[in-house]
Amino acid sequence: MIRKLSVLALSFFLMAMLSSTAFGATYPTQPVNYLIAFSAGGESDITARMQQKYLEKELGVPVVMTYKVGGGGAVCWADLVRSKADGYIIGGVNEPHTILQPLQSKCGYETEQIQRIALFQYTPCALIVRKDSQFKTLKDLIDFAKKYPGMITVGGSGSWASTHFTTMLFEKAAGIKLTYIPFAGSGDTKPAILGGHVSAIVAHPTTVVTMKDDVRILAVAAETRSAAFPDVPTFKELGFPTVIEGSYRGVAVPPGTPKDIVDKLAAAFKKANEDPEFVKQMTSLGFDLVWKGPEEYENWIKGQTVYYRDLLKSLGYQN
Amino acid sequence: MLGRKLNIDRIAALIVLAVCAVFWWQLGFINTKLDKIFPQFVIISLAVLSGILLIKSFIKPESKVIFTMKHRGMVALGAALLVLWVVLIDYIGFLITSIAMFAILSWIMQDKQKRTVKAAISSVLVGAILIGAVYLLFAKLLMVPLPKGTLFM
Amino acid sequence: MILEGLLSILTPQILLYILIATIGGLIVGALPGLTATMAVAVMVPLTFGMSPTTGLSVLGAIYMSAIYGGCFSAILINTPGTPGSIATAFDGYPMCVKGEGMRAIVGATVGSVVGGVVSMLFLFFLSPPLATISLKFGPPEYFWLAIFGLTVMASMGGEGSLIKTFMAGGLGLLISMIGITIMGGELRFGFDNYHMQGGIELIAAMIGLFCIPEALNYMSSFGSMYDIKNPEKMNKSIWSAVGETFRLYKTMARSSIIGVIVGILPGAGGTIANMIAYNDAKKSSKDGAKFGTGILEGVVAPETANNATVGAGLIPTLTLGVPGTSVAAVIYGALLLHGLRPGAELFTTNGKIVWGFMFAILISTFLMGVIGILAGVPMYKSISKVPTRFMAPAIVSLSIVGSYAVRNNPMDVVVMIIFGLIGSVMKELGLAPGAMVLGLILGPIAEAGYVRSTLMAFAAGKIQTFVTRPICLILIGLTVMSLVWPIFTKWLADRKRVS
Repeated sequence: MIRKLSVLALSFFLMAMLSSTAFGATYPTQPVNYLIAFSAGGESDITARMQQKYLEKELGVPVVMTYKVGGGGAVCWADLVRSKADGYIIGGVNEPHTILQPLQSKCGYETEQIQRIALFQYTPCALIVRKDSQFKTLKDLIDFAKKYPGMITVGGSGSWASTHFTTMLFEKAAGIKLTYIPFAGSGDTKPAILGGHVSAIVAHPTTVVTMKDDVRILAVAAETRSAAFPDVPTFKELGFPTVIEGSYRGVAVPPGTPKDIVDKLAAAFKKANEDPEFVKQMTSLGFDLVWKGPEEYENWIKGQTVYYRDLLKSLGYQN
Repeated sequence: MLGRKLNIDRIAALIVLAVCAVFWWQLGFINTKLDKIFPQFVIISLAVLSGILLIKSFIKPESKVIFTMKHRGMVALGAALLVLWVVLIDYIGFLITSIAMFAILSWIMQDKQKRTVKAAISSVLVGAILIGAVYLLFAKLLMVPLPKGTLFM
Repeated sequence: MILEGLLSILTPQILLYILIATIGGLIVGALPGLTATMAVAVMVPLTFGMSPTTGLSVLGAIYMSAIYGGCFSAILINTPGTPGSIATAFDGYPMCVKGEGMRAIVGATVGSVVGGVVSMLFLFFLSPPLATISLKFGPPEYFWLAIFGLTVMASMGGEGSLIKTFMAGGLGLLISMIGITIMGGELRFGFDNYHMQGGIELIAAMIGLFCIPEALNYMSSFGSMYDIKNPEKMNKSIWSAVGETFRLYKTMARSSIIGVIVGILPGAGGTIANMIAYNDAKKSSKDGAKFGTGILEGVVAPETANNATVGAGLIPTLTLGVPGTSVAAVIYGALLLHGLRPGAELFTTNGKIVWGFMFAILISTFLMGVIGILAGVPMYKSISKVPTRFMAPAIVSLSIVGSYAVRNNPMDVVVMIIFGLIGSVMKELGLAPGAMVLGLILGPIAEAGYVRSTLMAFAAGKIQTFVTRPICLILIGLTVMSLVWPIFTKWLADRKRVS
């Protein structure tokens, strides 16, 4: 039996070896694994799947989604930085998550370990109330908050992350006190606001793009107005230029991936991002498309890391 | 220890109390007050229940022989093999480990006289077919990448 | 519109897809270790090549039939095929061992079909009002719902004492708190190890708790699975079993309602429906004491409830864009990917697709019933003859794959095995794994509800928010009754005995 087993094992071993050797052809020659840090059906998943067909066309190989859910994305990214840097494993990353998580706890990876390829999507945070709410403008809300500090409940997703920061930055800038209530994800905030359990939520335009008739966005925490909601003023316009927060999506590879592979991937993602059909699909869902290539992205991350380190300190975060 | 009559209530109570102690200790590392309240409540309630059970175990002891199955050693061996199975997957990958473990387990789970070479062959064959089918279904059709094992990476 | 939708799926091609999806879903649900969520999630990419109607119909059919399929392994090998069938095993397996396996399968099938159809009818006709009701559930309501759910633990205990059952539940609660905290975002009970930040994956733990001890059990007694007494009576008994199950219409009605309510609530998840229904059936039945020894009602209740969560889970998903159950969340994503937008306009702009989708699930529900019963007899007969030496490693293999495939996380396989060993020890010590599962599921819901309600109460400056909202009062009432009722009936019974 031992002999039979070892023959079996040997043949499997050989088969595995043969299948994983690229016979000297240029990258990519095998399917590329696209790691997704959040569950199937979520925004990260939807974005990746929309990119999938363009990527497959550009790279000439199948692109396979693999979900690695957990820890708000940390499980996936901890796995990504430990994966083989041969370009066959890429991962969707979310900012500022990959900056914040290492600053806040031992999450299995460091911000610098992630080799970034491209930043392609942006969705700002926004302060949202129900259509029938007493707050018709941001000023209404501020006035009420000044009269009754702490009474306005604001739902958001997660603690010490973008929606929470938005709330805290807004409180500081306007000199008011709100009560932030953390929910598990942006999906959870939807029934909270629709059911009237909280006075307002901080979410993204993408969260409410399906509920346009039931909610009102009071302000958007971006530099410029959102393409999906052009009538909504920014916090900056309304006199609170410090309230800038949002989520970005990008793609990255394990550290040490060769430059030519990085460039090839960046080019493929750029092609996808510029396709008019893709742009139309994304904006209809409420996303804003941006573009930062590998070097630009890495530099931006360095700047953002400093910003968030200081922000956490100024907001009183204790590790 | 196995095969003797044991007071299972007492053991259960002691184990749970130990778990409570460990969790209580870990709770000390949490900074945010609101995150501590619910766990504290659960740990205290558990500790109280364990205490009651412990007292009951002295007043109305419920003794039972645990692990009374016919082939105690076999179960222990089986458990050990399962642990080994999971550990090996990381190194040799799902496919090989599972076929091997399937074969081994299905061969030893018999009365001594039935452990023939013929039985071994059938074990390996059934294992290869079953595991192979599962592997093909998941890894190839459904695109769920089963672990390939660090030896191959 | 409605008619168009129905006609659009009555093509041979789509019907064939529905049939294949139903069979596939049944098989996946029936295999221990593989779950409905995984089945649907894994199929989503494969539906991209199909038209929206076909793709969504396939996913819906898999959902409904996988939930039903879970009853087979619960009944035949005492390992729930999906978390929705945990309670089915309590009476299903004893029936099987007694030789009444066919009766159990029929009961589970009829119950599942009835539950499924009822929830689909609710989806068809009562979506808007039910969606409104589900919105009324905020943090305080979820907190009390979780507390009420925890009282259900009392019937998960089997022969164990009540104290030990609650202890098992408490352990479940404790373990569910491992992971990142809500308020502070810190890692709790993780021993500072980054692998723990994902928390304990529920499905992996459940697979471990129920499948592994069973597999280890087989190692202690060799031979074939069990002997069927009077095998020639099997075919005759199908029709009488169908009749028997329909006589349990009251149980099916109550269980359906329970399933629908749990299904429409986004924060509840859907898996607890079968346990709540089992508990309710046990308490309200005159044969309550016989639950756990193998009576039909104990199988019909959970199976009706779990299939009732399917249609119900789609109600808030389609009308509000808020998924009611975890599988509905995956289908929601598929909807978005196919370009559909949930909400009021879904039924107007894409009405044909949506109605086609819903009719497809309805058709699949009836199909699965027929297929299930047809397959039931041969399965029962063949399973009973399988040598345990193959069954045990087969269960383990599937458990490994199933727990891995949920999140593609090798840690989950480790969790599965650890909980498997824990489950074996617990069984020996008389601690009920079913209670632990309840704690695992409800812990996060209870804590989140508590934390958020506390914040809401602080903001409003009054504690009443926590208790005086109307639905909260109903739930508190149910909780009190749930705790007091068994004591009350026992007191009544004692009084009767004395006089």
